[in-house]
Amino acid sequence: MRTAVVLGVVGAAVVVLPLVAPPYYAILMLPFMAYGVVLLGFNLLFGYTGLVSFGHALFIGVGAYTGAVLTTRLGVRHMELILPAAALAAAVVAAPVGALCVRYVKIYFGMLTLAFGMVFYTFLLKFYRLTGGDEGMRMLRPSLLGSEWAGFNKTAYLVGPYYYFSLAVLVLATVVMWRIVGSPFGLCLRTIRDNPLKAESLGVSVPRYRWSAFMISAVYAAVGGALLAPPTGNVDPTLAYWTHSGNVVFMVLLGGFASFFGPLVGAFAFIFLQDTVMSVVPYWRLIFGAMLAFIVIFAPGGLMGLFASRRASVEAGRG
Amino acid sequence: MILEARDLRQRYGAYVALDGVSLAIAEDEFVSIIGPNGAGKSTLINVLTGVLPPSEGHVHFKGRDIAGVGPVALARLGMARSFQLVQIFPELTVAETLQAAVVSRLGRGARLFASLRGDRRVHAEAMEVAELFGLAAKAHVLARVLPQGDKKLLDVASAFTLRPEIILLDEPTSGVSTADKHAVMEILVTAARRIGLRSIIQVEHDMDIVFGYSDRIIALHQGRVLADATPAAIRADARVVDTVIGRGAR
Amino acid sequence: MLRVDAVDVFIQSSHILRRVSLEVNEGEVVCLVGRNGAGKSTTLRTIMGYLRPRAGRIRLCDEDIHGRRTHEIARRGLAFSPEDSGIFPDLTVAENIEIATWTRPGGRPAAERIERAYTVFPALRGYRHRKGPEMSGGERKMLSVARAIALDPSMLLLDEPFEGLSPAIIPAVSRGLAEITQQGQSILMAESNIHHVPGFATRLYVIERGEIIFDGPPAAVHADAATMRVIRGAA
Repeated sequence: MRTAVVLGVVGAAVVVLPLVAPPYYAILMLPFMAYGVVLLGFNLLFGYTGLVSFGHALFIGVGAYTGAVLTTRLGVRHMELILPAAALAAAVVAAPVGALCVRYVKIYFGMLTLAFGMVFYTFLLKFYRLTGGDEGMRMLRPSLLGSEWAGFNKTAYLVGPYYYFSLAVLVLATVVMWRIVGSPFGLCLRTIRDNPLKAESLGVSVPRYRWSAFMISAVYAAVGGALLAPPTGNVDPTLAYWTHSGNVVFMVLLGGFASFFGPLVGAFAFIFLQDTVMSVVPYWRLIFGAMLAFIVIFAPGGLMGLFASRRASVEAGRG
Repeated sequence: MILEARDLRQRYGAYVALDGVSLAIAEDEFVSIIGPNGAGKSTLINVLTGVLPPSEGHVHFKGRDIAGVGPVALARLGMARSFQLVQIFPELTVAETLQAAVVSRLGRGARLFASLRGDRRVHAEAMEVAELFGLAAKAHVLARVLPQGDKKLLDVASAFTLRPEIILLDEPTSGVSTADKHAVMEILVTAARRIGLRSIIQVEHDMDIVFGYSDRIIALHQGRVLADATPAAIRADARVVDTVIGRGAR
Repeated sequence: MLRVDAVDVFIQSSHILRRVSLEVNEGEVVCLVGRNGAGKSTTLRTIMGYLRPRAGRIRLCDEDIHGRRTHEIARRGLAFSPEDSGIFPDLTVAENIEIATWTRPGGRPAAERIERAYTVFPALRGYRHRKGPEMSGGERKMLSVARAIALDPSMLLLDEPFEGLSPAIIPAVSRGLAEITQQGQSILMAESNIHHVPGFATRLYVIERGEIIFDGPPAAVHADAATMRVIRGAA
């Protein structure tokens, strides 16, 4: 009940934001929404299945470059085609990568995913005839719902149709993920996270479920990656660099991986904090490093963990 | 014969854990495996449940060779087990643990978009087992905060939820207090009858439990079968009494 | 030597121990008997400092130990063998036992302490080079108690020391523990199986739902029908 109220208020605020706030903030919401999609998928793998990937930027890059290639090389401008294409591209890459990586766990899984991420980064960098090398590629303004929105200048397009399109994608992604984690499949993932030995003895095939979770998280990352590109109009190899994967992990820790909405809270906090800190001080990475240390020591459950424990102690005080 | 093993040998490097073990379990039998610590009981269970392929020898379940086939395949074939070192899902509730077993048995694990909450059959079956094992009142308690004995019951209950034809229990009453031991065994036997479980194999140290419930007892010593007979015959076997049961036993 | 005074312990707002009091003097063998979930392990773990009591005191030789860190309590002479054995799986049997002679120096020489451990559990001698994964549950339990003995403590805290042990060796282990107490060390053990309680136990405390409902010598406990009903369960 409480959750519904909070969601309602937050939802209303997000919907009216472009109408009441300066365009700067509406535009800042765009990467939040893109990363929100990425993180929903990432947390299926991390919070629900127990696997930490340090190479998820690979799939963000796949999604972003799919959008760039489709709009500039293949003349496809419909976002409604770009997003599924990004999803398909991610699935094609994730199938073999995942099949190999899920046979390993913990640090080895992290290392393998990191390695694959960097292989892709190197590919993007070196094959400059295909990918534009370190300069990257442009992504042209995609058409939304069949319209080019030609009468809108860049800012108006971003804070208007593109904002609401991204929001719709985020909402859809959230609803789908909510169904997945609440499904029998989601329950099996959690058994694997908690005790793979026991899960197997109950007939749950551990590698198969891990692979499925990996595929889903890759698809989500690519859809988020495709959403990330249009605001800047440019994609470049750093999207696949391992520090970008690190940012994803950081966002999840910041928000809290033990709750469904934690990753969204983490994406929001990260984007806005990064913006605030960067405008105040040039050493934002130093600040973020200190924050990460703080979180690990004092708030391992992330922001959602803090809310949960505060509520528990309030209830205990009342009870 | 539902489960048969012939000339099982298991080596860990130079150490020989099983040295030529043969046994056969019939349908509707309750068999206890006893033996001193380190006799090879857990290794035998691991081989019988397809977790460990034997270095030598054969294991057959319902006529099929199951050596090293793995627990997932065996669960589908109709065999389940519980663990000596209790195995639970710490962050799942009692109800969720049992639901996971039902989901697995009904093959609903591939349902990505169905609502678990709305699946009445899964919930009903899980609660049925919870009631059979006296865990219904704790259905929404997280497994990790359960007392040790309840964790043990949950480990066994979730294996029962698979409705296997044969179940192997590795020390089902260890860590269970005297007051509850017989209650636990009664629960197991009643639940077994209710779900149509045909055969039970247990590894046990508590001789009261062993003699109170077994149709047959297999005594293991240093990786070999020392005796394989009815409880009365075992009680009269001096070698078994000396090495396994001890003279002080009631 | 050890006095637990009206200790209240909560685990995540559940009241697990209610004003639990007990005492163990030099050379005594005290058993905490109770059903599943009664609070036996919680009591031992609180004494060892894994849990902080919300109220009450725990004193060892007239020194407050409640609220202290576990390793400090161990250094002061309490050796703990947990219910799940807690052995170091990457170390061999010999290394597990030997490590106890490094962390608490002083007292008897190391070789003597190791020898005492093997005297109570001669079976362990046969697999000194085996590691955790190759050992059965009962062997791990023996190792856990042996390691506690090698700490050369003034008191052993044993959580279900006979669990998983073959009935053929329980009498011998029991005797070995008795010999240890004859040299002045004491034992506080938690037991859920009344038949495992050694015949030479000095005193029993019966715990039910976090409260001590009876204490006295074994004969008195066996004579009290109501308490025996609790321990044995409904006939």
